[in-house]
Amino acid sequence: MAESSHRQFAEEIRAFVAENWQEPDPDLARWRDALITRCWHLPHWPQENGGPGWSPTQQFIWAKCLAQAGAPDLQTDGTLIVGPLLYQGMKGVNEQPLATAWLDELRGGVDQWQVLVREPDWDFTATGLTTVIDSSGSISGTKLIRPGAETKYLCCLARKAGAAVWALFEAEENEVSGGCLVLDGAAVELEISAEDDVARLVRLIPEHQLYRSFDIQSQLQALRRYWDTMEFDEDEVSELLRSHAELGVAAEALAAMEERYVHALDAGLELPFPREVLNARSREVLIELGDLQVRSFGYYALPYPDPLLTHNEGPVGPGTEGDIGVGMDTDVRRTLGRLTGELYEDAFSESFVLHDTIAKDLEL
Amino acid sequence: MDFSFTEEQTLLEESVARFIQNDYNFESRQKLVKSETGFSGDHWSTFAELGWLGVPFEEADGGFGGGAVESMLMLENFGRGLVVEPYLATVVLAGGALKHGGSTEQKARYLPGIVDGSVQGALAYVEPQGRFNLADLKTEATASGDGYTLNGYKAVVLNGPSADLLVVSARTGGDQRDESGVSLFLVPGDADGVSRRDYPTVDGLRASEITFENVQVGADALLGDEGAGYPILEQVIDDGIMAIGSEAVGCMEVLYKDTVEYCKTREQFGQPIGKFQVLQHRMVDMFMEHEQSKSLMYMAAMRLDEGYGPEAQKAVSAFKVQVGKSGRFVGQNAVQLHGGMGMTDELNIGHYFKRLTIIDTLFGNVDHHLKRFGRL
Repeated sequence: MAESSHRQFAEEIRAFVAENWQEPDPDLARWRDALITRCWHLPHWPQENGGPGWSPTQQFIWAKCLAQAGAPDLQTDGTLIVGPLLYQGMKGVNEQPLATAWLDELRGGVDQWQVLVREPDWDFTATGLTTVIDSSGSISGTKLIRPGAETKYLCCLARKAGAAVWALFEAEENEVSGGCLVLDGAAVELEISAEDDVARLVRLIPEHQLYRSFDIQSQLQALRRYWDTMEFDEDEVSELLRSHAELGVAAEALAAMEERYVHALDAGLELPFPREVLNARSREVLIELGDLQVRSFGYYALPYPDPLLTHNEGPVGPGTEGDIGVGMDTDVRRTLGRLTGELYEDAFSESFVLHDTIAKDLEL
Repeated sequence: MDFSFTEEQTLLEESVARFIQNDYNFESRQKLVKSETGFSGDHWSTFAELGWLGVPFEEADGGFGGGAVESMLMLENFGRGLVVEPYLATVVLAGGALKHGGSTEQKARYLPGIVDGSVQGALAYVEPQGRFNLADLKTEATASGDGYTLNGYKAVVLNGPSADLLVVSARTGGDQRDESGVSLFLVPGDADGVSRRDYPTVDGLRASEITFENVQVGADALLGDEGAGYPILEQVIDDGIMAIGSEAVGCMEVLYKDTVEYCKTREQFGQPIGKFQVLQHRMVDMFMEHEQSKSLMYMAAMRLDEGYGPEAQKAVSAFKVQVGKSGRFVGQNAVQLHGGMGMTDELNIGHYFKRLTIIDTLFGNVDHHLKRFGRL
């Protein structure tokens, strides 16, 4: 795609965003309808499966324009993971009525899926999964579940006859307790073969979800605006300013890496590095960003560590007078979790898995 | 950003890469470092014959018309070979000052000599009290007769010992740290009143401390307008950062690859040490640091070629910060993974690390450029 076509595409997206996401009081329902009408709620789906069929560069531009405007992409487990699993994993059996129905629902914007991978005490290997499907098609085991989400369908990673399998079924009559879902013989409706190498499962994340630099840059700008309004003592913030500049450089580096990666993808060139490098770096930068946010909010950060909060209700969260538009419910909470040990093991394991995957790709 | 290179750029890159691979091995480089001049006159002639010394200059000035991307492609390869020839000092710095601030007459007088290899140059801009502030000058130039008289002291003048032409920053007005009032002068290396103390630097290059005592130059020695030399100097230094940053990226690549290779062959506890997960993860981190630097290198080069201004300056500072941090990380880990031999003179690892350490300090370190990045 030529440079001029990219510019034209970016202009089209910006115009669309400006028309349908109007600050300062954007209408989320209108935005959602506008996305679904154009199938832009499925930015990574191929045309033959009902998506826009965008190239990597177009997906990159899409992610950039939305992040710059602060507009949400409304991606969910269903559109991100389940849909691609269905249209990739069901090749040749697309006539399967259930798969077709589920794909139609996702295309139409009906999406109440939750993907369940992790288990308590899981060692991040495929053989370490304890959730199993027996010969009669019943699934049993315990999975960590996102609390508070409205879930109609489940997509669980499990083992069946020694192999890794995605099990898809309706989420009824299961027991949720303490963030865990206990499956006790639920009937699996559809099975799709999964990679046995769990480290590679991170590849399920579509390309455009890898590009986090714009979001990080937006958050950094918001943070500066917040500091300006708070009129902090200069001595008090000098260290914050240095950290802010360090993160600014890290975000620039991430943006440049993303652009190199996308360029290679689009031009059909050898990729400059494994895609997990983008994932690993953006995670590292986000944790540092969360750390900076926690440091700069001071006591204001404290209302957020409660994992049951689905929306920020503290003094500077979205929808409040002090709204600073940063990722309080993800990055700040995650950092607080890391600092207090709650999520440390999780963050550590993810980083470990990504490093292992990159080491394999580099043939170290 | 469009990362495609033109056919000319690709040919240039291949030609430099071929030279480094075939004619510039570590052993011969070490002999040059120990020689009197610290570099090879034969290599310098080759650079001229291949047209490399004219790459950044306009075609009208006998050059190739190249920009930051061409500089990047060349210097990354120079970094891989740890090239000691004074390309940075002569072409990028002294030549760059002429390119950005020289009059038609000055370019016609000096650039052909730089391009054909007969003239070597140096930029004398550092003063002991100035740290990284380009405007902090005690060296003064006062009007006398038809020209100027220079008095002052310049530190760490790269390629000072071999320079036929010095580009000297001096104050013609304003206070010691004012950006206005800074002027640039072209001074012959052997002018009366110029005295040098030469020395080798940690990374095997040559530099001088230079004293200017009542040095007389004509009005035609003034580069650009009087008192308006700061923006020229700033642009030249940013070109210099682009060059040494690219060199650092080349250095890091060699350190990463050599470390991986070493870890695959060095055995401990009955298996190659590269099989140990914790060492693999360190190498992954080295790889990621190198790739971050390389990506910012492309971005900075493209911003510079789009036009010099705050956007380009910001990208250059980001690049310099990254190179400083990554260079230290990659160098330290290469040494750690090689064990004690990583710091011996016999192995190339320590030499690359020394060059990376110097690069971090040259033209402003991480702290300096973080501050500049935050300000822009």
